Amino acid sequence: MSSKYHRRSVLAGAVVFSVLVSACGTDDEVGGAAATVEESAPQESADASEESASHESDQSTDESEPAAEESSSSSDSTEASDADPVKVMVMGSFVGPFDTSFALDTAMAAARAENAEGVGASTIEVLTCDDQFDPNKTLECVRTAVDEGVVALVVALVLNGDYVALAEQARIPVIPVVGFQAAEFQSELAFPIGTGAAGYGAAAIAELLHAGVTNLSLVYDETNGLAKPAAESAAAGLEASGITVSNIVPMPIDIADASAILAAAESNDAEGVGLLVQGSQAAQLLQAREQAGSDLLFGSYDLSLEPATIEALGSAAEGVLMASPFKQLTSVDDPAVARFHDELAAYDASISTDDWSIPGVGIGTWVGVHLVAEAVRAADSPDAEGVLAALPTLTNFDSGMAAPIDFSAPKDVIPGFSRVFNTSFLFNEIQDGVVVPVSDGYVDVFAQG
Amino acid sequence: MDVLRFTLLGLGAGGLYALGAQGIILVYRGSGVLNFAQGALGMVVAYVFYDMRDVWGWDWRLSLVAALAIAAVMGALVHLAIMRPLRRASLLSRMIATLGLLLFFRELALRHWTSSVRVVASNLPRDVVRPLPDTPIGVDRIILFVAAVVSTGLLSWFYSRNRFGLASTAVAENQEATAALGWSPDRIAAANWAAGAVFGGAAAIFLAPISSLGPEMSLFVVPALAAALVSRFSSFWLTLASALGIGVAESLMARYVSEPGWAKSVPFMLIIVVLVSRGSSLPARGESASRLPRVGTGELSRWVIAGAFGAGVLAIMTLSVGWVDALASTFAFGVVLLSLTVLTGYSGQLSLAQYTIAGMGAFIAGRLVAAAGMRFEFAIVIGVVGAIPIGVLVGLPALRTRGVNLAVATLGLALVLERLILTNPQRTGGAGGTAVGDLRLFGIEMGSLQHPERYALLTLVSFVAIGVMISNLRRGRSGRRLLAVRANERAAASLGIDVFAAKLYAFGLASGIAAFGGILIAFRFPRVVYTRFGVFDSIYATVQAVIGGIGFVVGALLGAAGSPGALIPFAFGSIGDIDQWVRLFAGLGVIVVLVQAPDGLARLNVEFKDRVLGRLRRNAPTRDEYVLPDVDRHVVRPATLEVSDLTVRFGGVVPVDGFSLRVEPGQIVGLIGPNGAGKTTIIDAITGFVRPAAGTIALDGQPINSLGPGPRARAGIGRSFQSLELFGDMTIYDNLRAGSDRRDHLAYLTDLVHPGRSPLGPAAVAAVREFDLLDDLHRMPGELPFGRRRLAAIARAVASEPSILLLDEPAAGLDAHETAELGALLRRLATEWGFGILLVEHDVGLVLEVCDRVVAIDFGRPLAEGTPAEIAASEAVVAAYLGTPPTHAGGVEAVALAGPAGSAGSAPSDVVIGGVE
Repeated sequence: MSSKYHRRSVLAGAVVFSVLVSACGTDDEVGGAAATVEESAPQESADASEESASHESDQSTDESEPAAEESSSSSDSTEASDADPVKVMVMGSFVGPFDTSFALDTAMAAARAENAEGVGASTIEVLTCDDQFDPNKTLECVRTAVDEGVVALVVALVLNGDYVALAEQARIPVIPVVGFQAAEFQSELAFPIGTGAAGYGAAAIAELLHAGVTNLSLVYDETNGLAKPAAESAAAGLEASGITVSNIVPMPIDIADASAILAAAESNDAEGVGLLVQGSQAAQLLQAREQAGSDLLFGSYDLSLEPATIEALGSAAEGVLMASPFKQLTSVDDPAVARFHDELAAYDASISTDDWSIPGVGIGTWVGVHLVAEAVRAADSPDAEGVLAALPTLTNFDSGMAAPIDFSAPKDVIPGFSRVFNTSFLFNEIQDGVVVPVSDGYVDVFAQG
Repeated sequence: MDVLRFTLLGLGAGGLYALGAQGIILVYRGSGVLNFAQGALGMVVAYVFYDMRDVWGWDWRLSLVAALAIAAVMGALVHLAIMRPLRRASLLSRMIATLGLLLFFRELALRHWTSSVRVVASNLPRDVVRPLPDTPIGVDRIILFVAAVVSTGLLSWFYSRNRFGLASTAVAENQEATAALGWSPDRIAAANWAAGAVFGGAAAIFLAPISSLGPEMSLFVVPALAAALVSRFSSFWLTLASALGIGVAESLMARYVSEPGWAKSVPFMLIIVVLVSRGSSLPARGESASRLPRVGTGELSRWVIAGAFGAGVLAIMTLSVGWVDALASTFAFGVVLLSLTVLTGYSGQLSLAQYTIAGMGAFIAGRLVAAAGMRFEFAIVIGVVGAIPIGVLVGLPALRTRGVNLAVATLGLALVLERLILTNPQRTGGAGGTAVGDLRLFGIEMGSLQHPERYALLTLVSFVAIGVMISNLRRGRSGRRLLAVRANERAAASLGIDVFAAKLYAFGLASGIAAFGGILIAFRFPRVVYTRFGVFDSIYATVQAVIGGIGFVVGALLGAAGSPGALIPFAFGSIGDIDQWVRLFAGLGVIVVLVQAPDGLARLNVEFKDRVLGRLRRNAPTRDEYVLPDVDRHVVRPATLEVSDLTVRFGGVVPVDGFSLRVEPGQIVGLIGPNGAGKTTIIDAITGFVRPAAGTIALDGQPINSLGPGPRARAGIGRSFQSLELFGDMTIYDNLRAGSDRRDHLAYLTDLVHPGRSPLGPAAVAAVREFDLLDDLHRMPGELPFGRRRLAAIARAVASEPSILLLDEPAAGLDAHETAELGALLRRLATEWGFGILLVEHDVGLVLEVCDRVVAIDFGRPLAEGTPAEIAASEAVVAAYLGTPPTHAGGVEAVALAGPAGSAGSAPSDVVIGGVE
């Protein structure tokens, strides 16, 4: 037998094997979506880290079968109650290109804190589901949530997969932490904590106005479906308020040299530029600004400027304004921030927030779980329908880490988005590489003009 | 002032594009491979450099040397491990291997270094100069611009003056000839790959501080490819100019156009216009066609289809939702891959825009449903129909370009569609996006979320139906036309096949199918997401189609099964997070497949099936039986060819000058002349492959100068080629059918549903009998000895039933016996069938024996004309062949010119005048 034939046979064998393996898969397994059950209070004390059901182990599909039963017997909080635990699913794309797995820790920490305090007659049990950026798995996550009878979906970061529609069918409320899909701001079952690209863009502009800029440019990521409408909408509003928007500049994601974009943004005597762009684009522009010696003031937000990027940019990031709907984790003197750190440490003392890529996702997830607990307390029944009915009754939900939110009154501030509740941001400035608050408390960015 | 300012700003980016493009040219000149992975390879080198410098703390100079050394090793390894094993593979296969590398490197970067932006400091000076007021230009940009100019000068000098450089250029042209000169094509190619990788790596290293380091850097290959394309992958200076032009155009667009997408799109549009304007409708003589991936037979077994369909239905109705979703993903993606079976598999057109066109179908249908409230059924139809002209538009460059040019052009058009439409929120519904809601088809709820099994059934039915249609196409006349065009455009045109129509049909049909697949993919969810139909997705679709077997319907299914969210990743999901590795595996997998099983996994499946069936049917006949109908002796439609004062010019060269000729029905006219006399050019001019500068060509008194090769063939002028140009992937039977098939355009539609039976035409049947080809009908051309192949080539020309047959050296390579048989055959074709034959032949003995009249030419001018005896006696002819005066024969029996000439019925002599042309 020739070696070529042998190699072909091996190749063919591999294919046949894979098909056979495919055919031998069991029907009842959940499949690729790593849907797991997190024990909401794995530790008696902060040093019992080895008992922590860390999210890393949870990505293993060895435990991919829903195992809600296991959690009820091992949770110290559940021992305090005979009632069935109230399940909340935290879903998102936690591993892969964007690592936001720290959001699982914050969710667990929040649940542990709520259980310690007591959630009505029951306890919070967190299920986690990583869709791995696969829209099919996103749907699997929701189906698992339906099967498990969760009362709400806290959505950290889901870029694809129309999970909202499926959640609507099952009448499960969804709580997007940031909001990356239009449906997250359109569904009657959506109670977003963040405001998505449009809100962040508005915040970037508002902080420029706050800094006294009256003639500005907007640079937006041309591949972001929400960025251009946000820029145009903002520009229209600003013009109506007497603010000059000199240039609206689309920025390709793969442009080699941002010098021309910067120059275009500087045209017509613009004093500042609102960045509605991705992190890589923001970094390009900031580097180009520094090199050109430009004094253009940049307004940005925390989603596009990760701590690591700020550090790497060094002096290029100096003076950049950076809005965030959440308090900065570096503001350790703030009681709410201290509480956040305490809850995290109580869950797992070894967790460090220093290397988080997008802290806002972690904080938002923490806020989301606390929100669900609050809704459960207010609900007539500890189920999805009860939580759905209770959420609009929360008129002043104050997590401490974000501005108080009134979920009874959606704000009609972004065309096409009927479910926007939180438009308040904190304004910060990067000074000596550190994000320093510069606004006096929260600012409603849509009330700026 | 602004224009000047933004022009200066664009030069920096242009310089970077130039450096990248020069690496592409080095690889192309040294190995003939268009390296789509140039940007991705450079990106990996840049990551390595910055890891060394920033993570490991190495000195930047040491890091640079080490990183570039690694780049050189990587480049050489790519050649030695991938390209050398593929050196006999088609250009298409080698291009796809580099696409696999592109995917692999990009996914590697995503997995290892993640997509997070990485800001890196530059080692170049970051000062600025201000050549104009308010125009700060970074010194680093100036250095890069100067580096691009200097490297262009050095490369240009090196490759035009240095022996190694010249040898590199020679390798790309002809490896065998270069080897004969004592150069090792392998080493030259490896060295150029190494040099190309060093250029790519250096460009990426210096680009990273400006653009940020990230996986998106792999996309910088697109403008670099465009710049190299303008220079035809040869001129370094032209490449520099076009790269700078692209950089400047992008910069100016950023200033003056506020619409998203245009900055990246406009330069590409201009380049495609340039490309198309200078292309040619048919490949030039001598442009070799390499072997393409095999295609399936299109034979269908109703039982197998019914069984497979039943198994699919059973699986959908019984498996869990996860499996059902995976099946739906597989079938929907499979439909898109089926479009590549038609386009690339059957018609040989490599389009890197196919998945983007799928997105365009989804876009049209989605917007109609979301914005106009149209019913899904109608939106599907309009989406599919609407995508066809877009596909035809993408296919327009294919009418005048092919190979690497077409691949780059389609990649550019994919980028244009992606940037201007699919990722442009203005087109896709603004902030609200495209919400199509719950799907209903003919009143039945079909939404994937509510009824996953119904949606999966829809995708299954769609895949099976389109698969059957494509199989029908393969077996029909249209399929043979596509395969003929794929195998050899010149030969196809010589048979009267409308090459333009066949290509546009392939693009149109493939676009419709892709659009349907795109709609199935997009409408699975209530909100259509168009960003998943981008350039990389198109590349990925091509790669998956090749892995599965791009020429096989079942290959589409196999390829689709391995895509993210489909069957195989779902099945393996229990052992880890497979989906995020799928594309990386695909990048590697396509290379392995191309090296080990270039026809894809489906071909292995077919071979396995054939072996099993062969064992089961040990005594079964080894070949198909072809029963030919009885036909009367065939007489062709008589027509007279008249050529008057024909002149052909190639620039300053005039290969044919004032040539005239008349060929009447039943007459054989010989055309002889020394090498380079212009004989083949005359045939090319008569058959429409070369445009005459002057003169008239008429058939039965009707001028045909304005007609292309296809219409001339259909008017009654057939030809054979020196190099035979049989369709290598078709049996002799199908070669003949390609010749005798009706050329009706309706078949392009009817074949999809009912290909019917297309028996050989009467001329083809008569030719089979006359040429004794019955036992060879089931064989592929490559399986036949040369003499049989030559007869088959003539038979194919006869099968198209021309009135005038132009034969280009039909006796070349035949032994004396075969030549004698050929001579007798030609005589019968003229006398009994009524053909008018123009015989170009170096075997003067044959010419003098069978021809009624002979025309001798030299340097494109008529030298003598007359009966064979008169020509044999012509001193001018003898002088033209042997020089004046013919003092001695020098071993050539010039004396024989006056010997057996005109002795009809005797065996052809060994007399040869001149050599082989």
